[in-house]
Amino acid sequence: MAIGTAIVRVPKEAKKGEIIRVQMVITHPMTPPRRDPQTGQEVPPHNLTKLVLLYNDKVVSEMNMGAGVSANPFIALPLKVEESGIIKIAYEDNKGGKWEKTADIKVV
Amino acid sequence: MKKKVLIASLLLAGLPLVATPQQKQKAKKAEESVKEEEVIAVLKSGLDQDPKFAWKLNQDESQKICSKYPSREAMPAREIQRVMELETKNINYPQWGIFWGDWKEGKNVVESARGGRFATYGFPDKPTDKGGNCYACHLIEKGVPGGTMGPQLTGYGKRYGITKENMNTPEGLEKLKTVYNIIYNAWSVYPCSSMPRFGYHGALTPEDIMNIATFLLHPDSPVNK
Amino acid sequence: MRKKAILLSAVLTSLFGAGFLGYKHAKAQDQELSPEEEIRLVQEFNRMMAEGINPGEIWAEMGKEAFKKYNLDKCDFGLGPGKIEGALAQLPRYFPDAKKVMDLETRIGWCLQQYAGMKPEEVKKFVKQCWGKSQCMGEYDAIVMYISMASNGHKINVNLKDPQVKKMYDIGKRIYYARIGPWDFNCATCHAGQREARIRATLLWSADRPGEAGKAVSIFPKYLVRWAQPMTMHYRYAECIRQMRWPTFEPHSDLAVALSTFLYATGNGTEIKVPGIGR
Repeated sequence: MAIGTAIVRVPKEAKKGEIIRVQMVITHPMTPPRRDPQTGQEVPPHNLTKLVLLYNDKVVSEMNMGAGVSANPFIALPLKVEESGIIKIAYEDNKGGKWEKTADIKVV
Repeated sequence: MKKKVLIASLLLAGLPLVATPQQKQKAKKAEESVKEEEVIAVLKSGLDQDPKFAWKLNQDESQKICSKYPSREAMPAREIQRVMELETKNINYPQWGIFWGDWKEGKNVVESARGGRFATYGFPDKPTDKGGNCYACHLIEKGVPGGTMGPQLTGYGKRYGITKENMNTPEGLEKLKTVYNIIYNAWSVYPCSSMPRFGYHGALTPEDIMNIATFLLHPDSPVNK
Repeated sequence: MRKKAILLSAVLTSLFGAGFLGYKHAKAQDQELSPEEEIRLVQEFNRMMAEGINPGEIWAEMGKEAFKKYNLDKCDFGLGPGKIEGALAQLPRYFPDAKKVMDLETRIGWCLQQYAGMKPEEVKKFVKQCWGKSQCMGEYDAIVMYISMASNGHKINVNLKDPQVKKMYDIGKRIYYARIGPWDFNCATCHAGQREARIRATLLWSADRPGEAGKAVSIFPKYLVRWAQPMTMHYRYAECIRQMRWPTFEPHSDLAVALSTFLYATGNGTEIKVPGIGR
């Protein structure tokens, strides 16, 4: 398991029309652009750039991140649920990594 | 009748004084069931066995005395006196005696946290780094975050009454010497204190300590503004 | 008779007055300066970090695979081979097969030698692979996190009636208070005493104030935001020992077991809530 692993946590059940909190944690070093103090060499940034929240394959939220976000970011987004289905996040970073993670939600 | 009540109340008041020494003795007996040598052997077994660092773990007599008691309040007067006697002998002054040093140099040594902190994994501390890490335990300059384990040192020179006029008088230099003694060997004034004996162990040189004492007491220093 | 009454009342009043003055003096020394604002921000930050998902849980998922990979399902943590629910709550304990008192990490190290065929030097390297680094996805930290999280909700219950465990407890307590080293430090310099103190901006817990040792110990391994990785108990000992200016700490040593026994036993009764989160 390495960079890009995520945990997505949603309530097991929700009422129709309820606003739930989708919590996620993604492992990523999120290093800002730096310059090595000894050699003067520049170290380019390595960070997540975009996170998209999909609810039953419909884009609900888009989030752009920069190097200012701290490492292993914890993100919580609100979501109004109407029907049972799959909540998916798709995220990518600036070195070409692309990942997805899903969670199921049951609506009563 | 009144007499009896009086005597009874005096006895009751005296009971707690009798009970506590017994408790102290019981606790001492339980802990003495583990021998000191075994404790030190376990301690040393868990640390780097490299003979280059063996000097760090020689316990001197004052440390042995202080290890027996959890705090100064629990120490008998005889032990307190013994530690103070031993430590007052262990103070060295700079070759040129007691003169005001450079408070800017003192400020650097006070703020650096790196002295003596070398470990064999990862971190960039070097064995040659120097620093007293004073802000870990003291509040020194107004507005700079510091710890509360030791007393506050803000406005120290002002509180001591040191001004530009009286700093070079014999009384002023005596005050400088007192502060130098505390920093060099804190146990000569506060036996078994939490404060390291910087000068005695060589963590700081006498010149460094003179600079630190100047930083704390000099009227121009930011501590006293 | 009257004289005696007057004398008695005079003595009692003066004692009472001295006690009262002493209390006032102690309070006056606790006055805070403006760094109070910064301290409050640090504590607010710690409170905010406690909600939501702890990034340390990702290491627990890594640990599940590493647990099987290194054959640790054969390892007996005191409740039977491979049983980890509630294992952390009854450690450290005496293990007759190793003939020693061991805490969780020492036991993992021993089992790695027995069931995964690692030599002692390899185990030490395995343990230290993430020391001094940031964002290090180490398998050892993952294993410790996985086993520790299985005891969430259990209360710490070190068996002090066992004479071997009690002996380690006494040794640990003596080490806690032993002044040694080039800066005359011991664990009690920071973590003992009745007065609340802080080191720079961090509040210190004290083994002498009831309940605080348990609260500190029951959240290890603790996810550290500044290094973006979890910190296990033995790494915490190594860091404390580095700050005390003692020589480098060896993980899985008797020193570690003695300290763990003392700290976990002092925290008997505290509910385990792993992973913790901190600066």
